[in-house]
Amino acid sequence: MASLDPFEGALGTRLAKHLLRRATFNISQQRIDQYAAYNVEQAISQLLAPSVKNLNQPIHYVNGGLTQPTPWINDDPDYGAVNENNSSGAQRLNNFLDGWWMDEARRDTSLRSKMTYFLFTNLTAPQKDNGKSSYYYDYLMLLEHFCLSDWKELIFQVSINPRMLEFLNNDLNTKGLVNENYARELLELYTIGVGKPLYIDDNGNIAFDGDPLNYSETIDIPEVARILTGWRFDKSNRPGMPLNGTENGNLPTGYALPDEHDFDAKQLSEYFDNYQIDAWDPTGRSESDKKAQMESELRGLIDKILEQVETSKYICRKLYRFFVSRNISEEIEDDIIVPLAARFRTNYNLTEVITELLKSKHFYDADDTDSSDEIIGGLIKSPLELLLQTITLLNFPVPDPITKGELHYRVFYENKIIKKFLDISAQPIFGDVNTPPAGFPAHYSSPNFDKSWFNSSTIIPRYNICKIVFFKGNFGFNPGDYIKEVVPNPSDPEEIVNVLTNMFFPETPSLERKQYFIDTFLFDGGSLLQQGDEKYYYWNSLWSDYLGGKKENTVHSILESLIEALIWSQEYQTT
Amino acid sequence: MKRRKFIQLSSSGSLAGFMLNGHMVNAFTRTKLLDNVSEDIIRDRCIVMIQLSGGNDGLNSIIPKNQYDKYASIRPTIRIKDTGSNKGIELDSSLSVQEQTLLHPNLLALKELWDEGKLNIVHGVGYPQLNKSHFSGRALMSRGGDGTDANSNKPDGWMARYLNSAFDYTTYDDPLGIQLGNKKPADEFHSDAEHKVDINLSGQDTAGFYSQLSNIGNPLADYNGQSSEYIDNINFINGMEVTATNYASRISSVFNAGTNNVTYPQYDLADQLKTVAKMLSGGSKTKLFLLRIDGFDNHANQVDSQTNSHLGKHADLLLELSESIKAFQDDLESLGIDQNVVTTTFTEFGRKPIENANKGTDHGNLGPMFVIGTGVEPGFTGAHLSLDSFTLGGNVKHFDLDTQMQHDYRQVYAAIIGDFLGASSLNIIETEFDAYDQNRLNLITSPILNNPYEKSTHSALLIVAPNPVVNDTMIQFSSPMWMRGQLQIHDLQGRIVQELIADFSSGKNQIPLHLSHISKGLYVLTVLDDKNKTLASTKFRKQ
Repeated sequence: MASLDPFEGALGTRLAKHLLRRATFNISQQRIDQYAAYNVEQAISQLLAPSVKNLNQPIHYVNGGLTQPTPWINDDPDYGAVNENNSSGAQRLNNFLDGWWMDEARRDTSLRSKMTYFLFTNLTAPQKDNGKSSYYYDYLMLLEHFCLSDWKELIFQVSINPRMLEFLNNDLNTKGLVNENYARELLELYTIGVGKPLYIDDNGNIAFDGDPLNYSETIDIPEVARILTGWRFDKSNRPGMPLNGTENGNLPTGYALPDEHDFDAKQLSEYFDNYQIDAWDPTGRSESDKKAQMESELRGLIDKILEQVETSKYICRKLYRFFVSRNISEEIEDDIIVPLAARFRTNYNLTEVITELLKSKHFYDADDTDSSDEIIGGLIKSPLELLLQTITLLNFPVPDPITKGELHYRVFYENKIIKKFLDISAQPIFGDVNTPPAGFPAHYSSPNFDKSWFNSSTIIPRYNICKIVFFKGNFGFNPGDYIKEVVPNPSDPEEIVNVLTNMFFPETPSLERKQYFIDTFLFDGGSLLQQGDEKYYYWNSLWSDYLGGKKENTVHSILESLIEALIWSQEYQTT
Repeated sequence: MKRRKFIQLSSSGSLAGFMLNGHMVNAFTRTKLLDNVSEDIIRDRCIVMIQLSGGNDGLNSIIPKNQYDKYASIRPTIRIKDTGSNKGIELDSSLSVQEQTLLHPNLLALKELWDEGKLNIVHGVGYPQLNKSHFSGRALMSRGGDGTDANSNKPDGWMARYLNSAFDYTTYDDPLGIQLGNKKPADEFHSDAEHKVDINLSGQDTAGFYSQLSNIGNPLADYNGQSSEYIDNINFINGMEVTATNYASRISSVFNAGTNNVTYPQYDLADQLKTVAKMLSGGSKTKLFLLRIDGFDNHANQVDSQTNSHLGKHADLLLELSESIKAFQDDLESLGIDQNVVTTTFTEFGRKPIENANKGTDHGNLGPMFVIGTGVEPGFTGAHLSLDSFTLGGNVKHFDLDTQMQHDYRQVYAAIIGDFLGASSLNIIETEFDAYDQNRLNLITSPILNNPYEKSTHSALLIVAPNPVVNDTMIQFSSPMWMRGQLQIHDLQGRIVQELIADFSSGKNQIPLHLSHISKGLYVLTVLDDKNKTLASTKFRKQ
């Protein structure tokens, strides 16, 4: 029976790696060792400890009319007032925003970045390459602000968020001229969900991922759309937008425009117990009364949707697929999803559910007799995980965003990572003009889910990531220094491969598999192996030459090819 | 059962305007014909399918001219004009009054194809319980399903089922399916079978595909004999690697051997079609090309303005679509391979007939499909949808599926794979399209003729559970009457691996099956009645 009971005892290396891979983008030898000694209580409290950011927003390098590194989104205590005279167009600024986000994510020692990205998969409003990067920053900051707190408040806030209003046309939704786009996706994708076939039960009946009908197409979508009428934002006047309050992140937000709101009575279908909002006569009322009425209608609607058991289950299934496994059997539904959803429903606090899940025996595959047949290594890495986890596993020297700003933003993140890796790996990080509100197929497409990341198109950039990102261009990654850093005795080829596979692979590979890496990459396909005790003579002597300041190119190219082989291994594609 | 109702409607011609379509009548005349098709005829043939992603607005693409006033009244802002310099294009003045059509002004290239007799417009395409969600709708259509309980849970894509049924991939040099224009894997090709039949070239340099692939990769990680989700993932990755490398050199070589003879316009879709033409001229024998053009989900600003309703996002997309297809067709003709290709468009749903307040349209249901090619029977299939029930601000928002749906999308595909690619009746059964192929549409001028199905119209609701089968399973189905029937299990090569004669009772039947002796893999279970006619068939997996 699958169990949410907490895992007991120290994690050890294998489970520490598992937790770090799933819960963060930041995994390094030092972090694996640190977490290996923790029990789940210690580990999770460490993951909940706030991780201080390097930069609170992207800072543009000196370019155009700038004389020093300068923000273009918000005034900054360290880098001064906003100055948009940086000669970078909207598309580039969006890429720089993404670069900043990734750079913070790979530094982030907490759960924050993974949870923020999870919320992006739940409440997807994709980035437009020519849209306002400042509004997109606000959207990301909104997700981040709520990533470990009140999901109910987030649903309200995101409904009036400028990027979301624009994306699903709710800023055009007007009394008498209803636009249903946001109403539909709010129900279908963001909250209660629509049922999808899940599995066939013992009686041959199709079990659905949720009731196949959780709302009425003909009643609820138009009625919800009417409740949502009248919310606006001004595309060209972000500084003029109201702020949503310090408790909500103090972010620019949309506003209520009572003249365009439908104050007549509304009634939802029986799916929502025929929930009613009575007609309200705005005649003679003050503007603030009218706005308060609009807000109360929207909050009432959200309360009603979140009262439904299905809403909590739908989100818990998404959480489960993102953090644990794509496979939701009847057992998982009963033993994990249902109790987790019950917990979530009590106050819709994200910290409570994610910590319960990440502490559970089930998450560590420790709730049945075989602790290595499920979960561990059971997902395919997204391109973003592949990228950021490789940066951190390699302690890769990413150029500094302030002192080497152009190299950092334009060369490393924009050119190499975004354009040459993420875009062709089918994960333009926060989506593009063609990304639907359901996000990427890995986030919604049953039954493959995360397997969608890996196909005959994406195989090329994934396997070539070292050539594309890490070993091309002069970023100063030194493979010899790296091996010295992570391997206690690098003159022993077995130790090198033991240490690296232990860091990079979810499970310990067989001796044959390790020998393949040793022979092929350290001994030129095995041709340089000697007989008997002197088997590893070639590498032993090469390494001592290297320590003596000789054969640097040879050693570096051998080590690069070994690292590359581990990164394009089938094992490393999993998480 | 909505589906049966619509089939009755289409065959009795009870819809006004339906009798005007002479093409339907021929579909009834086909009788006993051979199942064996000469390999030579079909070897070079392929289908190119273009997904109009987001839900195309059929009503602003193909406008029913004799309902123009009605159309204008429900689309006061976004209507395409019937007068002035930017008015819709008269498709064909020789058509009957009911068939009179205005094309969107940016579909000029499509009119040229019509004039050349290479275009069939299939009206009123949809499926029962049409799903107006982009994702659910696409998922259902890619799997050949619909919104009914019996059909909503198909595990694999219809293209994969067809290709697995009709071709032996082991002896085939080319990937059977190629996907372009979408880096995401297509559900259409999703298969539970171990091997992959398709390859995704999106975003890749086709000419250098082989050199890119051959330069990377480890030998396959060998985890034989072990089983876990981790090892399943590794095996899945191994499988993808094998497929990609096996096909890579072939893809690069046909691409490099091929040529294009015309200049294509500068569009993403045109690039995709150009790649297909080059591969075909280089000798590719791929059977299904799946292409995509995105951006049809226009809830707002579908048109620029009421005055300039001929401009805007939808207009741009239609221009890209029609000019790209026309260039492709011209190229194929110039290359002398146009007889081998049929191009079709499809979309997850149409849009509401009544415009919304933002110069756009919301999700609707029915819409047209375009079928294009030298070998295509030109004309209309079906009739314009009736706009009678709609008024601006009125309560009726959608076409009534019971009365207005004329064609199931699977009916269109079945006709094309059957009559153009030569799919046998067994192939169509295994593609799970047989129920939609009772009255085959007349879309191909010289169809490759197959034997007709003599399938009962009784709905047998066949279920195998549990599925996958370990040792024992239960077959559940419904029989129209008491009879002595038969269960047959055959493998994908068509070999019968088990037969069982059984007495069926009228109504629900449950028959236990013990299958411990058959080896792992996919099988087809067929329930036959006392006259050896198929009552139902389904695939299952043995573990």
